[in-house]
Amino acid sequence: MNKRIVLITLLIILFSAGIYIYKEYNRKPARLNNLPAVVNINADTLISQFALNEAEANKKYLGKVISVKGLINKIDNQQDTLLTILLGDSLLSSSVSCLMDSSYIKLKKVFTPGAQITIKGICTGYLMDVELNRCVVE
Amino acid sequence: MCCRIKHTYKMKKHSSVLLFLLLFSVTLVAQKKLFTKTGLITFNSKTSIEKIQAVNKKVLAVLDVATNKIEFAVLIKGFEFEKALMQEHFNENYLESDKFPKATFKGKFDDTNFTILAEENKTVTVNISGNLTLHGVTKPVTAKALITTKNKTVSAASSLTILLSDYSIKIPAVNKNNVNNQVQININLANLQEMK
Repeated sequence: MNKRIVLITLLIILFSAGIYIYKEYNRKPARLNNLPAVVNINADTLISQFALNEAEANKKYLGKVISVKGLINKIDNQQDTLLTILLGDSLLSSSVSCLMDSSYIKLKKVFTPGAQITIKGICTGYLMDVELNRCVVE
Repeated sequence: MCCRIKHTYKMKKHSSVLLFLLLFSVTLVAQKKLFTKTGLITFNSKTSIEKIQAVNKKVLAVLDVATNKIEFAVLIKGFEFEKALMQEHFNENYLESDKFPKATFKGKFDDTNFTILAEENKTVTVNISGNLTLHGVTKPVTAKALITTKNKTVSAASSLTILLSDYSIKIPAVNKNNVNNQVQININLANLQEMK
């Protein structure tokens, strides 16, 4: 009787471990809609923080989900495969470059230059612009 | 008589305008800097057990036609994998993207005459050599690239193979059979814009 209980418990443990490993291995990167932003920040403030001290800004924002509020200065739609929305003062040489989640291309949502918007994305760092990936509109 | 003079005068005026346009367009080509902020880099690593593939859609590339120089910069955290676990391992264990957030390439085209950029529907193969900095290690690399002009746009494509061990990227013993030391990198720059 005792042996049977041990055996069953072992089987259950093995089975759940198997399910866990399988799920973990096939896990997809999380959609940002359901993830809370760690930081809420203005586009121009974010740009100036990166421009002044990139290393320091990297420590604060790299790999984090951040929510950025700003004016749309450009919309770049490349052959309906890549939608990027640039935020920030159009007089500055850099912007916050938000690569939109691919679902936004299908939605054909209309974005207007000059309009204010809040976009949530994962900060991947700073090249010419501050780069955000997998962005969604908040 | 009067008409003929007028005619030759017109012809002269015409040809000087032509000459001006010609010279102007040549200098335009010679001084051109082309760039993109949305270049594509994909990489592939295959073993019999696992296929690892990732894409980065935000590659910054500047091609200086006057000096034959080319520069790339790409953010490591911008590489996207189909599986979240792979992406996490790539960032945390292999590329250590918190410590080394960028990869860069600085190089030169060998003996290239960029007059092709003024022509339509042309493709040329060029040799590129330069230094690739990845995971904090800089190594010389060479590659062939195709430059194409079509519908008034310029695009470029290249691919190269690197060894992870060259860039001190260590494969943990557990994953020795899943991760190939040899990685193929493909670069695609479509629709290069003129830098103003």
